[in-house]
Amino acid sequence: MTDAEIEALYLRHRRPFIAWAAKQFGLAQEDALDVYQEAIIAFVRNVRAGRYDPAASEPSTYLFAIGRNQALNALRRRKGRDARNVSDLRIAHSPESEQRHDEEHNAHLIAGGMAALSEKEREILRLYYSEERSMTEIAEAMGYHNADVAKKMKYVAFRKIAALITKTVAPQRPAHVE
Amino acid sequence: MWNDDDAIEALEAYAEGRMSGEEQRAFEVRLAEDPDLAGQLHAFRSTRAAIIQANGDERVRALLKKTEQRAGAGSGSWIQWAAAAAIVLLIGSAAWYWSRSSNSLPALAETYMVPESALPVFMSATPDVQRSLDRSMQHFGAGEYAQALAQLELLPSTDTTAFYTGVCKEQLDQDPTAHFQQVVDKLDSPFRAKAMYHLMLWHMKQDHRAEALHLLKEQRSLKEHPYRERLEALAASLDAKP
Repeated sequence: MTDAEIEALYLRHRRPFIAWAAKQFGLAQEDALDVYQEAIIAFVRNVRAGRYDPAASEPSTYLFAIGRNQALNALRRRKGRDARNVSDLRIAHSPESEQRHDEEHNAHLIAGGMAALSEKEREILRLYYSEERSMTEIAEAMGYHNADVAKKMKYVAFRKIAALITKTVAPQRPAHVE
Repeated sequence: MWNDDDAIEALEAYAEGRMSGEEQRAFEVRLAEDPDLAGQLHAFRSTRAAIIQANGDERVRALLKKTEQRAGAGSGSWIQWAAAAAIVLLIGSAAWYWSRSSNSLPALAETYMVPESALPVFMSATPDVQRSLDRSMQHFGAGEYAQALAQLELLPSTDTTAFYTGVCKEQLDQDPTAHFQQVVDKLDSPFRAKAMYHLMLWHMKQDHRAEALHLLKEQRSLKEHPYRERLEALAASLDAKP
């Protein structure tokens, strides 16, 4: 999705979503807005990962389904409700909605792990893995003495995030080796 | 697992295809023989994918923050809210006066409102559905929007019922956005352009400038629109770019 498409999607559903979240879950406007933004982020993530099938559901239906999970997560986090209480609010259970819930939960954990890193650590991971810059370019951009120093910093950051992810998100071993 | 920099370097070089053919073959022999190494490679790939995903999410988050600020409705901190509330109080009377001037969005919404006609004939296989539709349209045509709405709410949801429900709510000064949005999302609905128009008017009535301008732009890009002339006149009034 392009930035323009994301903006159009965001503006189109913003007010109906906030009104719906307030009515359905009793969220205040500010909380509903946070939930809405996280739902849009998850929507974009799923579109980019090929997990959204436009033939199966309208964008608004899919977005509101994600939003429901996000709202439930927000209630769990902010009101300290246990899963049993909040599960009463679920309207429909399906393998797809459960999978979507797990993916969103994992994304939340990863975002939390990234937030625990220092700004420099996040930046070095972003430049290397997302921007695909070389270690020499990164060392220059971030003011490290040379590429080896930058690489050591990258490994420090990588270890921190890997420790979280391998513990909480991806505990399974692969069934076979490529 | 991750204490050795050289081990991470090797996993990274393999995963990113930076090994020579010989190095790659040797690494794959080790992978086949060592289940721990295979597990490390899986964990490395999961971590790498998670980092890329988190960075992608962060980029979208920054974009939404900018969009929200531009829409003039940023959530902000309580201090920002308090400051905004103080400003609103200070200029309240001026804003009240301005809202009644002829060029304000709410005033333009009234100027450009289009009365919709009731549909004359319905074809439905189910007698109950046909009866309710007929009644709702009779009330609608007579300007009895509350009664029309009550009948429409008895019917299964379609783009037709959603459109007329939206118009009834608009006339009753109730929020019609969810109903119009349902029609807008249905790309092949014959009511789509009209629903966009009424949704735009509703946002104008609420003084939601960003949403109204966005819908205006979207409608002007449609090949056909029943209210084309009105749209162009409205665009001229708002000094909107084509």
